[in-house]
Amino acid sequence: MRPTSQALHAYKPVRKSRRWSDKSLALLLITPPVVFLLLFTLYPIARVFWMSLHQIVVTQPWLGTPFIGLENYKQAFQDARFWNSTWFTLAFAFITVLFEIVFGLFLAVIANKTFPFRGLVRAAILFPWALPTVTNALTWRWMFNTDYGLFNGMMMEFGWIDKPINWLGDSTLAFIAVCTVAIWKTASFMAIIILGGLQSIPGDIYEAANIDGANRVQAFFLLTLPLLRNVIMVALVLRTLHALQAFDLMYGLTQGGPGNSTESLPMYIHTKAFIDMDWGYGSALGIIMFVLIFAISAIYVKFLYDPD
Amino acid sequence: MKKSAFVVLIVALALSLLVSACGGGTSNTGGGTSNTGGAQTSDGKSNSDAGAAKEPVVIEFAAGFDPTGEVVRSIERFNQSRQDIQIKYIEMPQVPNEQLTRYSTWFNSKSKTPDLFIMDVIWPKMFASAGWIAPIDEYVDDEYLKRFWPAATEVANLDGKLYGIQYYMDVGVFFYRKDLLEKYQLSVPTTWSEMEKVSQEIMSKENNPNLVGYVFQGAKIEGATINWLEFLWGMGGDVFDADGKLKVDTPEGIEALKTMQRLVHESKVSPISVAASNPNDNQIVFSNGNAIFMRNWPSYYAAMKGTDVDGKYDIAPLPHTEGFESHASTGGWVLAINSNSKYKKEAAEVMKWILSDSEQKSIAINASKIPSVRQVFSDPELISNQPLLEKLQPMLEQAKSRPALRAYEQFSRAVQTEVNLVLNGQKEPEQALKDAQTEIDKMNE
Amino acid sequence: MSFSVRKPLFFLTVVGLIVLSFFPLYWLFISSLKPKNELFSMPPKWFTLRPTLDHYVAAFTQQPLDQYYGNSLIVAVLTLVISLTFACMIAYAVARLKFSGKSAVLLLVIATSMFPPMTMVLPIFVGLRDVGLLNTFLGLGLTHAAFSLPMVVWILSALFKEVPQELEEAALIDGYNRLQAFFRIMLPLAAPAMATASILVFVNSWNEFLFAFTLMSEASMRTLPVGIMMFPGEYEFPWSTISAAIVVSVVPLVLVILFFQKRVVQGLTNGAVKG
Repeated sequence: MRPTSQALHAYKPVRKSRRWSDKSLALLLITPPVVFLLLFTLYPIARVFWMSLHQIVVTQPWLGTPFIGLENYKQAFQDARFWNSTWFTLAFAFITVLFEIVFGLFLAVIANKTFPFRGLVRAAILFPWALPTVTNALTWRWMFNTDYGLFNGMMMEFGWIDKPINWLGDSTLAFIAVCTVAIWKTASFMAIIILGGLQSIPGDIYEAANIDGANRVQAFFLLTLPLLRNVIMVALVLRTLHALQAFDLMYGLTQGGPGNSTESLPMYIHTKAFIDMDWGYGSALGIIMFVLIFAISAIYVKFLYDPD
Repeated sequence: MKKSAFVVLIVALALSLLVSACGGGTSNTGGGTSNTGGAQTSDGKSNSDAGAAKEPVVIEFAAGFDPTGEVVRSIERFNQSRQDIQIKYIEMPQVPNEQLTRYSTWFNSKSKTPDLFIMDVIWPKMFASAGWIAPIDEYVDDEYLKRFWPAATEVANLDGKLYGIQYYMDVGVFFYRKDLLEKYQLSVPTTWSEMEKVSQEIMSKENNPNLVGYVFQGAKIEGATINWLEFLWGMGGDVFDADGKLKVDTPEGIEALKTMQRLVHESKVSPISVAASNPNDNQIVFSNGNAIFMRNWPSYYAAMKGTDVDGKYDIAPLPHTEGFESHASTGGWVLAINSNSKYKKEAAEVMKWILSDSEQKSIAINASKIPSVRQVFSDPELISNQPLLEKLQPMLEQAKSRPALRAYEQFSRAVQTEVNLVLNGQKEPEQALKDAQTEIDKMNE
Repeated sequence: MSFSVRKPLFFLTVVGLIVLSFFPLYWLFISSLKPKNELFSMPPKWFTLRPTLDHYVAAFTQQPLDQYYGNSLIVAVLTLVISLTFACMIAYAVARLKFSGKSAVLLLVIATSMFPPMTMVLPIFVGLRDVGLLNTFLGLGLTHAAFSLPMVVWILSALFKEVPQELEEAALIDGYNRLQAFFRIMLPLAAPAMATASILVFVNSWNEFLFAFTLMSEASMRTLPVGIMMFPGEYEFPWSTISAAIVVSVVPLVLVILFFQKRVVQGLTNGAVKG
């Protein structure tokens, strides 16, 4: 796939007559998107950071908006509910991403094979991901409902259980339910990214391996996986970022219940900012979440990314 | 070279910080409606009249989407009858939390629109404290206020100023299966223990394994707080102590929660699924014929027609504890004026028009809403068209409003979380209310 | 590579996958056809003997779903154009050009998706309002593009790199300039990546709720997810109508996915990447 670099270097064309040097072309290309990003994301992030350093409780305007430095952050670290939601979010992200990678890989490999109706199968696999999260969560909530939900109804009809299961009322079951829905929805997202990578691998590699006597399993683990490394990492990072920011799913499925056991950090931020109107504290939580995500991504990149 | 990219990044970051520190977005353009068009009113009549007609004042009225279309018709009636003011309807989703998100985005950024809007009954103090709504004392007088149910004007009466009036009311009611009661010759229970006995009798004699006694809302939603309050008020308790402080871990509070717990875990008259139920879930179980009693909102009376229980149910006041009185919680929506509106006077006029007898009658007949104007209830057309209203009158008299708190949502969240845990069998009432009180104390009302 | 023993197993697996992926959508579909009183019957039925189209009619008459469709489509396409353009610019520069600060740029790009979008609602709302972009397709499109950009940049830069550089070098020798080389060589070969990215961007934009809800308050500008959220009542949740609306809103997504999936395959067969 990669030609010998010696051959390439021997080939370097003369660049003097080009109008654009690498650097200026890079500048031209990079500037508009970067400016766009700065405006749309860095500016709001900076604003949020600024707010996190103040006390801003909208329903108590007589307090003003004094600068309080890192008070909000201190409060967060002493807030049991913050820790609760953070642990939940991390556990949720870790478990769901793990299963999603495995299933996604599996799905992609299957979708990559040649068989009749392949296009239809691929589309079917992508259905879960095409449903908007909010309505998806509500649909599953209906299916999980203890009294009139699909799951209990069918399980009772088949005689598998004789009393309805309180899916969303039990902390453990609710956690499983939330993870299940997430995995169901996103394994296909992983699959499509991995599929893109799989299809960039030319088939002759496998032929060569076959000639060398490798069997299919060996070929998969020794050839396919390493070649997919970058793609898997991209999928991993993207999906982890997404999972850590999951809000709609819990909101629609369990409202964070029972108690607060399925409350994610973004849900808690939403509650603090939009319902309790404590923008200072909500902003601080947002920044903390940002740092957390940044740290996790940095770890991923450091260990998995092969910059080549 | 490496430095230059780095420098650019730092400068950009610094600039962003500077810009953001210089303050938020105050602007002179309107709020969420910078494009005209798309509203659902007929406002073409305004300019074409002869005479010295000035440009009509456009009042933007934000209200939850009304599937019956009555709000739209009402606005059309107004727009056709007046030249000086025109209403532009801003359709909002019906779900209160969605509205809250929008309102808080708009009002936090000091939008001038909408001019008039309706808010959930639990928001007036929150909005007033945040300075989002304007007092309307100068537009209404005591005579005018006498037209309404007490709760309709009390709900937004805060610190001596009036901030709004209820557009229409709502009240919690007790649904019962009259066919089942008749079958076993039992009368409608008025106390909780009566209800338990009646439920158990019917449940044991009926051959329906899916039948439960009493369904109510116990999910981690506002409904859980409401239900607990109704138990609490029904035994003479309240959430304010003698000093006016917010206290939930009182003996009455604990007893109220214990009563709810007993229904699920001792007498087993209520299924454990109430701990995950919202009003809609309860209604589904009831209309499947699987519940004898239900606590819910009157709008379901009409909604359950055409289901399996059509003709078999009726409503009554909520049960209470022996020796006390039944008090249901109010609901409904409150009209209020945006404090940043440029046309408060005109908005008040629109408000008064919406609260006029004819319009209130109209929403009762066409949208099955409960008017907040008392005298409308004696209108003969209304009585024949909406017989339910007569039954609701005594409940409206006894209904209580939820505590008017600046941080009501926080209070409610503390309570609903704990109620939910108790119903789920994961906590005992004493501990639950103690934990709720801890959360509430953090609120420094 | 003989399948003979594996074939039935494979077939079963595929069928199982389809059922697993499809059943909630099927459940919604069948619910949208059931008459109201059958909706919550227990035990639940996977079919109905009295299908009705009433709910579809209701869905379209209660809310102008067709208008929302159009809006969602415009926003999604706009988002696609903006994010692909910007992403290509960055990805190409990072993958092909020599300059320092690459990691800074990539970090900036990915940093933007590390922030919970809901905390940015207020600043973005205020910002767009001040420049008059509220209730416009451009405003929402730019916002969606901003949130999709990181994902697309990463996918594209990972896969741009896979395309061997000397193919473009050859084109440059032949007298094409960089832009032409890009369109003639890079783009076709990176088609699978572009198709993948396009699907992701389109679906994300189509299904996005929070900003569509906040930035488009005009009824006529609503996108589908926002429109669908107008159906739930204060206490009621009209599953029949909503199921119909959801089914209707998912159809274009399915079509887009099918369409782009084909392109992915085409891209592969067109760009024979010979070693």
